[in-house]
Amino acid sequence: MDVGRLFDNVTALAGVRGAWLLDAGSVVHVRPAQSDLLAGLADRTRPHVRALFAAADAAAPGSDDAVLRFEHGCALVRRTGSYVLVVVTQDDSALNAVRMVTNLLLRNLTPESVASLNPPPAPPPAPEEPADRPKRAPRMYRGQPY
Amino acid sequence: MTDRELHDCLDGLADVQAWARCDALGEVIRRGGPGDARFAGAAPVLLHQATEIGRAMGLGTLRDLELHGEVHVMCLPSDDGALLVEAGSRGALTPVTRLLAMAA
Repeated sequence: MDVGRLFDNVTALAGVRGAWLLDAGSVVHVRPAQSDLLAGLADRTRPHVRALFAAADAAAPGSDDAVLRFEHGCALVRRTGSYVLVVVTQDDSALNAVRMVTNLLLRNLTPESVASLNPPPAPPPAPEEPADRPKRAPRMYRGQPY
Repeated sequence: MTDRELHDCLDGLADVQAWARCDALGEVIRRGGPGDARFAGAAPVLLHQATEIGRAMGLGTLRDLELHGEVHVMCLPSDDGALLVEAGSRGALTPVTRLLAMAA
């Protein structure tokens, strides 16, 4: 299954501002992909997400789903294996729908499918051929070209 | 609603396994329910990390934090620490949310 499309299904839900995926503590994917702002947020919150689950595990292992409600929005943080998915929403009205859609996404996360989320960068373009220079008349030496 | 009334209401909710009011260091001040509040000691760290996540995202102050897994936990920051409620199901936390909204 195309994990990229499943990711799109999450971010297409009403009220969803963005989502990102962490693997072993590092940011592996951000949607919308071109959002530098979201990538920065993902990176800044990364250690806190890790510490949150570490504290939860210390109390009682097995908490893989966290809902954080704030004054101006919500964050749904879900964990499966080494992957942690963070979805930011405008409020908690969309959380049930987000949970359903992310169930499918989390079930399909494998090293191969995650690798396909970030295609390798395109090779750099070949250097352009220099423009054809105007042909010069051959050099002559004693009436003969050389 | 007074604290005592709130605690009585929490005791009366179905499927609530434990509740605890903790200070800022996670020490339990008051507790109720048939089970142990396992997350009480972790409450300060959980709330701190959640607060930092909200701050980094620019989402304002933390209202509450829910953790779901083998145990379903709701953790609410308060002026003097936190209130923690542990339930046996996700749905059991819904009346807790309503109750706390009334108490606020």
